[in-house]
Amino acid sequence: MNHPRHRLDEALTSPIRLSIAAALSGVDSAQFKAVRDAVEISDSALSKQVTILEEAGYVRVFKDTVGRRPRTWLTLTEQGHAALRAHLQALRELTTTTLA
Amino acid sequence: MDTPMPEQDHAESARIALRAASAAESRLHRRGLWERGYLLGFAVALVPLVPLIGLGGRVATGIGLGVWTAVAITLALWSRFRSVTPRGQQPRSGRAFATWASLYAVTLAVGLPGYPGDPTFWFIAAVIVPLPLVIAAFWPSEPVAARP
Repeated sequence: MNHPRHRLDEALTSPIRLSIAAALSGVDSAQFKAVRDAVEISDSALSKQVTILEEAGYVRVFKDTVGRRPRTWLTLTEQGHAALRAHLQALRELTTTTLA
Repeated sequence: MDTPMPEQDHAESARIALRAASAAESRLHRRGLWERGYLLGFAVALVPLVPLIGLGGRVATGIGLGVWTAVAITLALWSRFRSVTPRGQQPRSGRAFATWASLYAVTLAVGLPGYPGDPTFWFIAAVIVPLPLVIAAFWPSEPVAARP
């Protein structure tokens, strides 16, 4: 069970969820529409994937308003940062296991 | 029956996933670069304000403060409409503005009684006082796991 694929995080094995978590890792928080544009998916697809990440405890969703305009913000939790780091480490090891 | 994935396929999938993660991180990170313009905007607005207050008399001080206040309100409102909060923005900007305010308070406390009308003091101060904001604007961001 030492192979790095066993250390991949199930919630992050989807390429879209990994991209969402990775995108959020470089900022404190981002509006829903900014993440949608960065990951290049539709509103509904992002909403669905964010719900999964939120249930895993990796993403927190909160809302605010500017004037009368409501805005939805996403942020990667500490747990999400830790899971992403571990997942990326396992992926990096996977890229080298066959070369060794 | 499940056929185990060859190691080369695992490696290639991992490489693709890492590239996609890095690209998404980079795209969102770029949207956070507005903070640099925000801090530099304040810094640039301060450069003429400092000598205006030190050298220009009451009317010039009033005009300078009025223009600077307008710039500050515009930048603050503009920042409210950004779609990304850069990583570490609040502590970084907070430290920069606190250092700037302290530096400016010292400059006024020393310069107004000690160097009234002395262009050398006030032009040097005009360069030094905004420096905390300029340094914060170019302060390297924390390492991010998704970056190669």
